[in-house]
Amino acid sequence: MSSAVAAASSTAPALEVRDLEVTYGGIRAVKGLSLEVGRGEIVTLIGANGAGKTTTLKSIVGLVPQRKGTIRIFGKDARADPTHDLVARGVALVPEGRAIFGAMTVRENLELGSFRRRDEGREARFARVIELFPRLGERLAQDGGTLSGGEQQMLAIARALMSGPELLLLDEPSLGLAPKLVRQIFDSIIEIAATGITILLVEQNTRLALETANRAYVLVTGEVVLSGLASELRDDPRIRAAYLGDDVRV
Amino acid sequence: MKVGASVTELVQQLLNGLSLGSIYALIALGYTMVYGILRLINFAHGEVFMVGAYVGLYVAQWFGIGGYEARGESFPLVYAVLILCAAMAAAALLGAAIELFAYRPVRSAQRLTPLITAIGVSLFLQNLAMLVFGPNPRAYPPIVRELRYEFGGIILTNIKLAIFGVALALTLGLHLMVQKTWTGRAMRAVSINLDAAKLMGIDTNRTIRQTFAIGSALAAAGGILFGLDQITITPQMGVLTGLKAFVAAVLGGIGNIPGAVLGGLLIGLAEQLTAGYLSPDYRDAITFVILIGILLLKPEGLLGVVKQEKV
Ligand SMILES: Nc1ncnc2c1ncn2[C@@H]1O[C@H](COP(=O)(O)OP(=O)(O)OP(=O)(O)O)[C@@H](O)[C@H]1O
Ligand SMILES: [Mg+2]
Repeated sequence: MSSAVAAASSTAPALEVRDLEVTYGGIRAVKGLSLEVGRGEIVTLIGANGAGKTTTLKSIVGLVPQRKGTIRIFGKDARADPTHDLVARGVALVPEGRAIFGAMTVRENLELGSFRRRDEGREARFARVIELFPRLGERLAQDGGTLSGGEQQMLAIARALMSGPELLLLDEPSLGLAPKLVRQIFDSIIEIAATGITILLVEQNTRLALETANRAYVLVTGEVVLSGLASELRDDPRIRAAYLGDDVRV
Repeated sequence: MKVGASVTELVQQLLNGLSLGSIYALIALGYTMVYGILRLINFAHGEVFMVGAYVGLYVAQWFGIGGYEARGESFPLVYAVLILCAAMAAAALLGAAIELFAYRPVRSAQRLTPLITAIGVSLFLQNLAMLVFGPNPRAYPPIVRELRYEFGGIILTNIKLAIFGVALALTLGLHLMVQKTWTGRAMRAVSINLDAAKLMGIDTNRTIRQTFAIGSALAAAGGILFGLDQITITPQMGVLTGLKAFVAAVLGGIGNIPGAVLGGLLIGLAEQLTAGYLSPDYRDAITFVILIGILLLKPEGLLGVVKQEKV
């Protein structure tokens, strides 16, 4: 982000989504969703399969077109730039399923992450992501496709960090991982947030998401039905019944 | 004595086959790169090869090659290099234009639409070429005057050496570009996963355009080498040669760059050996025998890998 833009909108939230509507061939996947992520926050978007979480993230970065609504990133209209230029504006998405470049080495995957940030800071960022995920450091020459699921998730996050993002969007980083690895990934997310990077975390692992985030939005079939402080939602009987598997009657 | 003669004959055929195959390899690279990045068979690629040859012819005339011939002087090597560069640049522009005006509008359409578009562009360029360049075969100007060398009965010309040299240099250059430069990394990323490439900040439209431009430039180099080797060119020259190069790309494993080179060389060898030992009548047919064979036995190609859909 240029400093001029930063100065002009230094009070604007990192992300502001208003009345977002996304359709796939006439079927509404997201129906008037609004959410806000303040600078430095970890906000989580939780919901069941097919609720529209991935669709929301994709439309934030312009990978799927929106039908209605506005999206502002650090105060600037997100649609003012195509996806690839949003990356240069400090937005990174770690996509669902990781989308590692399987036929390229771990090092090449990381280098691609810095495609738009080939400055001197690159080496420092490289050192930092290796410090965050030492296992990647041991596998730099290995093809991305040969990594385990957990390592691929680490690589996907590390690759996103190589662009030096200010806003990091994570789509189900726990997907398909063993509990121990999930824990490790979430610890890393907290570490990343501690460096000042704003995070919007999409999760199905509601318990962990609510433990990690400051605030949360609950999405049901394309609509936000509940939102608030994560600590409060953790104790909300509706959440406990529907998402935490507790036997609480509403 | 007899054995010696047949060995000489074989070596000669192999050399000729490799030289022809080098030209096919240069053209096959463009098919395979575009397929790798868009899953599109660019049927107009053979016509880009043809246009490259004609651009070379016209630039040579513009440099006054006729005068050099009439005076019995040799045409300066610098000019030959400039002709090659000009043809490659013109073809790069043509390739980028084809991508922009023909393929980009139908990129998100059903699979059949881009295929029909490709055939349309191919026919359009062939007819345009007949109009602009004339329908009759043209003698190719001797950009490089032929010199013959003989080693124990094997004849090698400087033109064949130039074909090997140019093809090798361009293939190595392409390899280095794809492996070492940001543009090359972007190309590989786009060919693996378009959306993921966008998320890396890659302007994928630009990368696709560059892929067309580079593939087209290589085809143009092939066009000039083909003209030098075959003496005449026609507006239809891209049809059969383009098809053979396409088969070469399929043989090596479409989408695979080393595969295209291997496939090109093998097709060239097969064609030359068929013509030399079986019958010249079968020289074109053998390509299609190989195509049928590879599609039946190893449809992913010699160096191709079976694509597994990953969840
Ligand atoms: N490309 C597409 N074409 C048509 N429908 C789609 C497409 N992608 C998603 N959908 C539909 O949109 C709805 C929301 O999907 P989305 O992937 O956003 O859900 P999600 O909350 O991310 O689910 P999950 O937790 O399973 O990842 C679903 O009903 C899905 O079937
Ligand atoms: Mg999803």
